[in-house]
Amino acid sequence: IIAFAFAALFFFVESKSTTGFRVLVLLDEENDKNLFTQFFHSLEGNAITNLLIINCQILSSYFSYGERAFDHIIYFAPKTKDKKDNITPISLVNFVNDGGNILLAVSSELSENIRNFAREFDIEFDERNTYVIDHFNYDVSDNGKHTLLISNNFVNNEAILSKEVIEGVPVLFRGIGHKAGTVPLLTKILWANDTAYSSDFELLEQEPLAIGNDVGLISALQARNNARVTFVGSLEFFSDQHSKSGNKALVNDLTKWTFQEKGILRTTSRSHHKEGEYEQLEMYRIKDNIIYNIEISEYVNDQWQAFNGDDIQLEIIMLDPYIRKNLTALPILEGHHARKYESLIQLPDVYGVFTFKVNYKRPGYTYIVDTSTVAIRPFKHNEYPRFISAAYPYYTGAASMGVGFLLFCFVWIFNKDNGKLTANKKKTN
Amino acid sequence: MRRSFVCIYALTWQILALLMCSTILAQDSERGFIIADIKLAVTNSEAQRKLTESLTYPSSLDKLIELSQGDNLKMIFTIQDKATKSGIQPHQSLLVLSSHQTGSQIPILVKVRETGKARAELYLKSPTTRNLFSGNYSLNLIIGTFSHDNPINYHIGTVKIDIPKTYSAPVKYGPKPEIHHIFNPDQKLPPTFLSYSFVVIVLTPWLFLIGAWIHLGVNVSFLTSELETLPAIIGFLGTLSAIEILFYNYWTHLNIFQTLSWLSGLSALAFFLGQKALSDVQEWRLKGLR
Repeated sequence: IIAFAFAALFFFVESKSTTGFRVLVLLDEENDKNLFTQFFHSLEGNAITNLLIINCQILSSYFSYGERAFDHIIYFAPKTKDKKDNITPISLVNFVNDGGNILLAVSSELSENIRNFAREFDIEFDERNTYVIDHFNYDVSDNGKHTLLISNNFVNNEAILSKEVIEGVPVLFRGIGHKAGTVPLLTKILWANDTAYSSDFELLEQEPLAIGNDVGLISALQARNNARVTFVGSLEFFSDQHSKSGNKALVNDLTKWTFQEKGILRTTSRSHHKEGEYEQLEMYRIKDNIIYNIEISEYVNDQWQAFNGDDIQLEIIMLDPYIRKNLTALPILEGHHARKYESLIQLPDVYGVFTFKVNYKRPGYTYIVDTSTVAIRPFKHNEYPRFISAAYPYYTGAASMGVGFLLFCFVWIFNKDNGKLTANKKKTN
Repeated sequence: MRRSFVCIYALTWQILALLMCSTILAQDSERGFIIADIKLAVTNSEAQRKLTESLTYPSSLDKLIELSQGDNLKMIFTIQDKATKSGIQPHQSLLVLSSHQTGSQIPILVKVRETGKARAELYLKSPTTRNLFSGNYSLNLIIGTFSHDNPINYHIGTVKIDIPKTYSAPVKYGPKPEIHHIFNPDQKLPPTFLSYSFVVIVLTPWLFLIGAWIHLGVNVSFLTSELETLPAIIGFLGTLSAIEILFYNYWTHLNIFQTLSWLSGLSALAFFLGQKALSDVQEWRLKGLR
């Protein structure tokens, strides 16, 4: 039994990622790095390269002193059965939980460890030594096994793949297929044609794990902390011999997306104030009209630009959403790096502590969850309607008393008795 | 001459060998297979035949195949090599149901024996274990092998599946429907007509007052007769009106402190003016004018 020695190559790369530039590449054998020279070259870009080849005994852990030692991992070591304590599938999951991104490629000789790791992300790889086979749709340079597939079933998501890739040349894929789950965090990026199926070369005893467009070739999951894990079923996909077809462009897009250079959003500011005022209060009144706005920018071509989305929604929540409103996007002004979204809302007539939440989750883009907490108070005693129609009799009653008093004083002072009554009195007396 | 004969002999054999090889190669590049004797049957749970059809590749079935809970769809056919007519066992022989609604594909394995006889069965027992839901599906037979070229994707027909399970879409991230808050209706008050009628009722004593005054012969004759004492009396009455106006302002917009400050001033004024005015009135009385 050969103990697999994998060499870790450190690249200190200025990959212009938003989360960091420390990349770890894991291979089964040190000589494997010659298969992927073009891929590694494209990663380096135009920046500092500090190549450090380290023996596996020294790579003890993905973490150092409780923090991630790397920002991105390229895992090209499907055959390795990790026996050491710190390098297990669980430690890779911890790496993702801590915010690290992983680009993982497997071949048909994948170990059970990798299958277990993929299950954590709702991806079920097929058994060892199975391939994705398509008798209808294989490349001319196939070796008779009908496993080198041509596929252009790309996901139509411009956050992950650029337009040139989506509409461009098909890619070549030879490897193992997987079945992706239905978790909304998962995005299928490339899948097989309707006539494909995933199997080994023996006669089928039972139905394959997946057939047709259910066979996933490349899938990716973006975790809730925005860490990205991409699963590619073919290690040959990145190799030099396949880099001439559309593979190179897709690989470029995949690495850019996985390493947080693409499809990245952030909120630069959010504010809310009463209509007609400017100050952001912590307490509003029920039925107040407020204006809420939020600014979101996107990282495109290594700089922050205004975001193009138009379906941002605001939710006003107290345990349950009371109001959900689409925010309107204001036009982009010159020189602004963020897009402003605004809306005029009337607060509900329930009082309590509410949260203004923008919960923007779309496949391919980072998740934006932006909350601000406000209190909504009921009417003060002097904010009720001042005069009500049921009280008109009382108003007139009081007014007529006042007027009557003044009139009576006026009349009493200036009255001159004509003597009629006294005359009548004298008469009757 | 013997040499040339040997040459020609060798040449013919070479040509023959080449021809044989080319024919063998030609046959190899055209190695295909055919499917024949396709029979489709649907039986329901009481073992009654609902549908029996024979098909020939590549024609499809026009009418709808209807399957409900407990039904059994069975299909048999034979796969043979085109040239030798011997049975082959293809690697991929699957009956695929593709949903018209979602595009998802459900496989049914076709078991092929070495003789080339193939059979597939779909049994809709309860509860359904497959990923099927109610709806229309396209039934396709996909056969592919490594040994032969020209794989077959044969559209057999449309299947309508009627089972209790319906399709429920998985949760996907996207915009959610808007929620508009329904505000409580305003407080209901009695009809304004009623309020106005009571306003009229409240104002009716004025009729009695004015009527009684006219009956008594009430007048304001001193207003015109005693002119030099007028300013004090008018001032006094004006102060009283000012106090009334102050009360009205207090009712609308003033607070108690402003009211009291105004009131202190006005009441002092009313006191002094009133003393003068009422002493004038007393003089009138003493003079015998009243």
